[in-house]
Amino acid sequence: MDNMMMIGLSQQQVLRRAMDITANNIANVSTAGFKSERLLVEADPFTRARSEDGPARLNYVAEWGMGRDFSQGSLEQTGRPLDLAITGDGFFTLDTPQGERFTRDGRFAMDAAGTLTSADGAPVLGEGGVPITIDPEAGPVTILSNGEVSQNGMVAGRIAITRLEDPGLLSKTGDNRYTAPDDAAREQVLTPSVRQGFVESSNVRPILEITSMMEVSRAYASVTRMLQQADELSRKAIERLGRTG
Amino acid sequence: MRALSTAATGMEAQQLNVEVIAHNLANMNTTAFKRQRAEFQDLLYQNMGQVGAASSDAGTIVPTGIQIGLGVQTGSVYRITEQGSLSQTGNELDLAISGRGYFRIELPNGGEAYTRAGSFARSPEGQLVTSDGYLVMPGIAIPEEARRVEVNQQGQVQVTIDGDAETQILGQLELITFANEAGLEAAGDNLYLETAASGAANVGVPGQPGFGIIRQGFVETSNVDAVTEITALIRAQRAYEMNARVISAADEMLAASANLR
Repeated sequence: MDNMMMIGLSQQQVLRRAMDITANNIANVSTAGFKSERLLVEADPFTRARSEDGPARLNYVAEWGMGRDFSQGSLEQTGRPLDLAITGDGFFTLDTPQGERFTRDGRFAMDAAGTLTSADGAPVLGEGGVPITIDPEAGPVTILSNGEVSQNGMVAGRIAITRLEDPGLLSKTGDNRYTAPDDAAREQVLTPSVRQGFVESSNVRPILEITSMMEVSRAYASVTRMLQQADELSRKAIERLGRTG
Repeated sequence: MRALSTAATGMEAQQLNVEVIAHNLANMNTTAFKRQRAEFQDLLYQNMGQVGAASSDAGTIVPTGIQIGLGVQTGSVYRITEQGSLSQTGNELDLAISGRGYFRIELPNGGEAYTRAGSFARSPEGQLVTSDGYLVMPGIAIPEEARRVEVNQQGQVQVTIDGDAETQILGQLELITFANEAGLEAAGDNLYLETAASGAANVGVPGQPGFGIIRQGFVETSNVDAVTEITALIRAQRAYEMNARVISAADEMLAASANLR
């Protein structure tokens, strides 16, 4: 009897977590460069609750990880010269006070000294880990698809697009940024594809999220019913046994 | 249940988004208004299973951790300083800037502000002032008997006076640019203030490299595009509704648990 309760509970815990992740995806439906996430669930991760003569196998449920969908988000045209979007692989590299961070959110700005920065002032790194400096007075900035930043025909630098061999090692730090362990293999994309005047929108697919939300809440309700029935069953058993005794 | 508060951050963000869009639409006909854009970022993440942590003594590592995001936050509300289109008014003191730059205005408290709204007028003393009566710097005094004021593209102000064949040069308008225009602080009344983020003011003459030119008889219209704003509004509203759905679904789950017994 207890097993039934415990299995139900394990599933409810996982479903709640799945709901949390879906809620986060939906909350970030208009966050530029956001990548949607999904909980990966496995059955029977623990040792089975049975002995040699005991009941048949039991399947508990647990999450074993989280999948991140790194697929391309759609590009939205903004026309702003410092809005950049990457099509294909790779991340922009930012130099933050906490260390190197990766992002797909290319809504950059220029600070008072002309350095290309993210919205909160972290410099965007170019090739060789050097920030890119533009002369604010020298006219419009052109950014080619290979990431080369030029002004009046003069090259000011090239934006570094970093690719991680195993994107699964990235963890999100908030602010649209990712961090990777220091020993994670990374390389610079030699032929990146950067689009000026575009922003990569979130790749959250609202319909998918809403259906997964419905699935989760229905599954949760059915587990709850199962728990109720288990409870009912044990109550009836106690009553019946109590009467004969 | 984190989903409840996560969805609440989503609703809050979309509400701000609608507020920004409403402000843009409200200023569709404001002279030289620059539209704004709310930028969102994902909020904190809670690590349930650290990615890359050792999962056994043999040195195996967790390939994909579990990170639960706690919603969304507003990164910044950015001002897009694109040129607005110029509309002809024929008024001789309507000056539009085509290109970069701001007019410098002296505030009544002695401070300085910057504006691109060049619908100027004459004060009782003949000074060139904004529609609020603030002095346009450097002060230009137009004589009472002036028949016509001419402002050329380089910002030179000339007048023709009755009974005088020659035009008189009254002064030279200047333009101010900033390294980071988006860093200016909007002070209302179409005025902007200098901040540490904008960088120091660079003074120049219209037509100089890096500065725009002046068009007399025109005003710069708002750069708000109604179609873009309305589609953004539709998207924001739908996103708001979806977040509300999440709240009710999470609530149902909680209710189901609460009614277990």
